[in-house]
Amino acid sequence: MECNLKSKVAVVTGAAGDIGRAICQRLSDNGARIAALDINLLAAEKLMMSIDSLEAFHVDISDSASVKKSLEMVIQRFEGIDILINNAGVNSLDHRVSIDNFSIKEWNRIINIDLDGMFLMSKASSRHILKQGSGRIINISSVLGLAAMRLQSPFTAAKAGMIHLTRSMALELGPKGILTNSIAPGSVLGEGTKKLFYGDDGHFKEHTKQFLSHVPLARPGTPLEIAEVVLFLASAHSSFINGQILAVDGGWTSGFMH
Amino acid sequence: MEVGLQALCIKEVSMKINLNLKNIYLEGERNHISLAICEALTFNGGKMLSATSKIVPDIILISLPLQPDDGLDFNIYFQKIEIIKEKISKKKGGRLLFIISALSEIPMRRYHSYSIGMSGIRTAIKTLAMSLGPTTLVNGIGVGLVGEPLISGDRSMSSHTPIKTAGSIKQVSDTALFFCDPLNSYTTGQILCVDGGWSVGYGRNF
Repeated sequence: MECNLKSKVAVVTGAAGDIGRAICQRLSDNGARIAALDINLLAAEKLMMSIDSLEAFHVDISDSASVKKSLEMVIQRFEGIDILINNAGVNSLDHRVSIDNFSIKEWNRIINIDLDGMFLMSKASSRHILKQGSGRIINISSVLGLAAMRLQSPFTAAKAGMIHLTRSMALELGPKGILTNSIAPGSVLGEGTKKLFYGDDGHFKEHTKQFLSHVPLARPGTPLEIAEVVLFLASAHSSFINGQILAVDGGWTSGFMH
Repeated sequence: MEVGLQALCIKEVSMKINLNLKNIYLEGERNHISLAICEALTFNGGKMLSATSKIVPDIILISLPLQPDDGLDFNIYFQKIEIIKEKISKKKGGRLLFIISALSEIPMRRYHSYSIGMSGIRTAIKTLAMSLGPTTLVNGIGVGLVGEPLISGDRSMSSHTPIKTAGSIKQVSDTALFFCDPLNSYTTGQILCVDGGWSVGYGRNF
């Protein structure tokens, strides 16, 4: 898909991750200027070598002072914001236990980043976008916000919260010119998730094969396949789409496969 | 509503996808929206097939009536879906795209039978996505209040829609391009509403 995002300023959180990097790339390919925000500034700065019209900024999205400071720097540099992509998020890999044993500290960490972080970024950015009279907010949630999974209670709760917050924002901000939508990715194979999918022998692990048997497309997605959907929702061509949650999951949430 | 292809002319199609001579077939309702989608797909490199063509299409558009009508017989469409399912299952890398009403997501009291029928089509999209994967992607566009004069939806929808103006034909045809884009290759079993946010929740203050 080719769209015209020339002169648009896009703020992307979690820019240095697999999906964030692909989003920055596709938006830049189509003419947008990118403010790449990440808690790992060094990793975000590396994107400047390969992606045009991109500048890196540090942010801790769970900290309102850090969000405010970061967006001030973005505004100073780009003089406005047209598109916000709330992409940053975390999950727990080592604390996969049921709720009766779930650590409060880990619960708070995930909720603070995944849900509070989206709220803080959206609250602060929407004020700037409203000044422009129109814009887009795209929240990268997860299929686990649509269909719950065991042993990841804070992640599923945070992502479900993101999805419903998207709808509330669509109702509040839509009449003011900001369209808010969410993409719910399914399994995505990137550098960061390879170890979840593959065993030491280079083949899919048994649990991966089992999981993929529930996915109609029978494979994990790629970061670029998520970024392609972001591109459409950020473009002028989606100007009557508001409050939608689009699962990009190979059909996993379509129904029961077995 | 029956309109001829010659009645439409998309002057500006700025969103570009590369369909590389993919064969397209339109099944069902020929209205301003479905014909505009055909025109947009052709403009982006697709080739329309006639009803008598023996070629198995790469993309099949299934267009349903978009103005709520409780007298509509959905059985006709469910029968057509079975025939189409058989047809496209022989094709690798196909796409099925349903053009349906946003009432598939949220039923309207005054359109009891139509809401039930659209909800059934919504479920059919999801079961087809499971049956036809991994070779064929199946999705739907849930069209809300579109056109002036009205082409889709019911006038009363506007009071609960965050975007206060009716949508345009082009906004729907651009969404169809998105679903037919070869680069949009991990989205299946989805219904994306082009309705300004009508199906999201209550757009009024209480």
